[in-house]
Amino acid sequence: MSDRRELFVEQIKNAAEERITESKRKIEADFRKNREEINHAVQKQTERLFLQITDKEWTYWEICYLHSGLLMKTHEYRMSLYNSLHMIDPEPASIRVSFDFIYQYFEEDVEYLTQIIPKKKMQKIYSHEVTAIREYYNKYYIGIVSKYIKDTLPELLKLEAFRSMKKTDEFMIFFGEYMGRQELLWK
Amino acid sequence: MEWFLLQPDPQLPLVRIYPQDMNLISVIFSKEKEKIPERSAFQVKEVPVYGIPDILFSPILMVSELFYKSVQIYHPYVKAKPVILRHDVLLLVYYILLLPDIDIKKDDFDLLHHAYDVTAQERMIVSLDLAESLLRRGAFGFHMEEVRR
Repeated sequence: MSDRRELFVEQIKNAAEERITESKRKIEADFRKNREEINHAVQKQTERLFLQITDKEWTYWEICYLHSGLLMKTHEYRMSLYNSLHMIDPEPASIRVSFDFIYQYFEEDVEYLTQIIPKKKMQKIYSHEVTAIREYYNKYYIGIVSKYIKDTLPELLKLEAFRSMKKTDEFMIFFGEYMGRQELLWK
Repeated sequence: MEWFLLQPDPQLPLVRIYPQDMNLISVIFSKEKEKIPERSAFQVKEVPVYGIPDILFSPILMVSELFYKSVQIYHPYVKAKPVILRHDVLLLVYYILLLPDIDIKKDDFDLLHHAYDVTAQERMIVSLDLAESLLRRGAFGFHMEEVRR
């Protein structure tokens, strides 16, 4: 990463900490209010994955954030099922999922953070520098999604579509970066 | 597999480069990448404050070492012509990739490649896996549009 990008990220760190506290509070309040509707929507999305390919035996279920989703402002995550070959399975099942109830404040948060950077004379912040701020700030949102997935996982595992899906004895569930660092959620 | 079209980032000013050997101009205009000699020198008119993007779309598509190495993860034997970018004391090696051509409206994408040149355009198509590798490493200078899911 270039020095300018690091410098801009450094300048927003404290404000990001404060901003996410406020956004998290609002997200949690929204969630408490609409818990049933949100969980139902996530379960419906997830069922699509389980039913996409029904004649294959799966070993891995991954729930991953995408850098491309952040760049294109879709904030989509990718859920995939793989056989024992894992990421080199030539025919995985995959869907994109949205956690809009979590990401609803993300864009206005980033807008706020880019505006608080002290403007030196003629200093312009370019798009890829804003992307660096988005990437940094997204780590907080990934944390919120991760917590939500962990909390809702027991319900997802009870879905009929999941229970009837063919799985190997080594079946595992991961959460993290697509083709990158991931955390084992369930085995 | 999902595919993305890489285009110039409209929010970044164009980095102007031109070949030092004027005989190269006709080769560049004819898009005959194979005929460009290795280590050809290009002059950068002005280096932006944020540095030179990892992909340059004009006058001919070329990529930085970071970008090239990301492509090599998926295609270790990808053919590429190293070229030199110069500006005052700055000297950088960029790569003109010799990728298979694809017409996004007609051709089928296959699983054998993760990157294609777009026929008759200075544009590139990359797979989701390669796009994520590039973005994770902080590559910049392009706008992404999903063309196939």
